[in-house]
Amino acid sequence: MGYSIGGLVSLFARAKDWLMFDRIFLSAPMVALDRQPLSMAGMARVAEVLSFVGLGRMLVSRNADRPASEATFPDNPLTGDMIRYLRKVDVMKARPALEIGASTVR
Amino acid sequence: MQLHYAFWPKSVGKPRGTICLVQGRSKFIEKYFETIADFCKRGFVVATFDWRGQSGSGRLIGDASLGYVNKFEDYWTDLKSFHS
Repeated sequence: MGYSIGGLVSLFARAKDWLMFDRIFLSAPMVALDRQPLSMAGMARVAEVLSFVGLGRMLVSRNADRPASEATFPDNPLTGDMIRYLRKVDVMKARPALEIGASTVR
Repeated sequence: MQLHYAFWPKSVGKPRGTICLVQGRSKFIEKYFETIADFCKRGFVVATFDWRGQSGSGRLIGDASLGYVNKFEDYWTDLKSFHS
């Protein structure tokens, strides 16, 4: 079962070694970026140019990348289930080192 | 590179199969406990791991919050290594 970038890597695995898994189930595989002004190839070139001019570490963040807390539940795009949402908040409080920040241009 | 992983064997009887749970960016094993419990209830063995550069796995650079990998193919290396 591959989710998001795990879904993309699972597709990669299928192409590289079709015997690895009997079946593949994908959930929201990251095969493209949503609501971008250019094609994937175009966005890749933009990212290369931005990295070249020293902006590679600029954050590319979304609402979903904000650190989760009780205060962020009402507007979160991930779930309407508060118990599930707060479970993640509780894990983050117990193990803050598990969390990483938003993606960067590079 | 050390990968954090977890494995849920079937305690009784023959499993229906093994699900390898391949996560998304910024995700971690603990986030999938509910889904894993559901798979186990359905008779599956579950195996999963954290990608390099994030969550409970090792980091490649000093800034642990960036989720850094050298190239996308490193994720394939992680999956291959875990699977084997």
